[in-house]
Amino acid sequence: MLGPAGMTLLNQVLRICAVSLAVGLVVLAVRGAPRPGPVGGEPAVCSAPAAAEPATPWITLDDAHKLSADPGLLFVDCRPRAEFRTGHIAAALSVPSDESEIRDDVVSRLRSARTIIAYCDARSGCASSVRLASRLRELGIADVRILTGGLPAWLEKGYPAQSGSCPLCPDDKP
Amino acid sequence: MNSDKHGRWLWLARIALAGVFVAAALPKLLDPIAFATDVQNYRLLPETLVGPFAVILPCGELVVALGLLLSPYQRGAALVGTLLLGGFAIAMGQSRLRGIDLRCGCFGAALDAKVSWLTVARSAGLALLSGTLSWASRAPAAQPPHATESSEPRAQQPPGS
Repeated sequence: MLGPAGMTLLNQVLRICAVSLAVGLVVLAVRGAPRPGPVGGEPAVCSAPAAAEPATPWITLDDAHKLSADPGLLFVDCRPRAEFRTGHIAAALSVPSDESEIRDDVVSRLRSARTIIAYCDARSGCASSVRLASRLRELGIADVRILTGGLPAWLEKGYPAQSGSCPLCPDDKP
Repeated sequence: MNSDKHGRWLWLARIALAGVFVAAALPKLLDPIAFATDVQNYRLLPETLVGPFAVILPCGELVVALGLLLSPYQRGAALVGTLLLGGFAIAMGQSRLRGIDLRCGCFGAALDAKVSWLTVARSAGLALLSGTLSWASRAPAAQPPHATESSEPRAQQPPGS
């Protein structure tokens, strides 16, 4: 049980919380709830355009590289398949963002990953990655991040990459 | 003398902490969309709660700042401040562990700082300061009744009796 001092403290805490909530609700009623938007926070190398989806977090090259040993992680290459074959991050899945549909078996593969890191060639503010991340979120895949700087920055760091077809892709067996 | 010095340090710490809360709250209230975006990027809240949280949290920070400076509420405000700052440190720590690269939103869009172990340590340090303030602001323990009884008659005795 709380002593008198504890009760006084609890009383103070509850009052402070109640006043905070009341003030917050008044401000909320007057100004309305803000809708998250694409304001700042994106890296300069691959900054998101104004039309970017707001909720996609970015991940740095070093953090992505550290996570790459995690079996629940899946790199997704958003570039056209032909570009994928010329070079891509090791063990990446090719899901070209310019294709209108994502095959069901590819969606199943994506759903089996715990975390997805989308990357592209970093042109136009990583527009391909942002577009694909948005589509994946619509499919209910929540943990999608975009690689800062895309493939060019990854290669520049000397992190693992390979060329050739996409062994993980159901429609592109070698 | 020592008690005065102690009291002065407590006030200085309270004013500093209140200043931190005000500096953190104002940019968030001035640019709620940027802060809501930062909150959403933490991926800890359902989307429907992000907007209200982005408004209510800075209001809470202002109330805590005020409470730290108002005599009857100092201890409670410091405790709420500890919980807030501890929560921030945990939220940032988990984002570092999950490898999410995001802006901390600690001071709204005013400081465009990314979450790092430094920002986690800063919040944890401030939580520690706030917790210490709450502990140090407790009421002094009451004197035992027998001590009061034994001293009062002596004080009231006329000199020379």
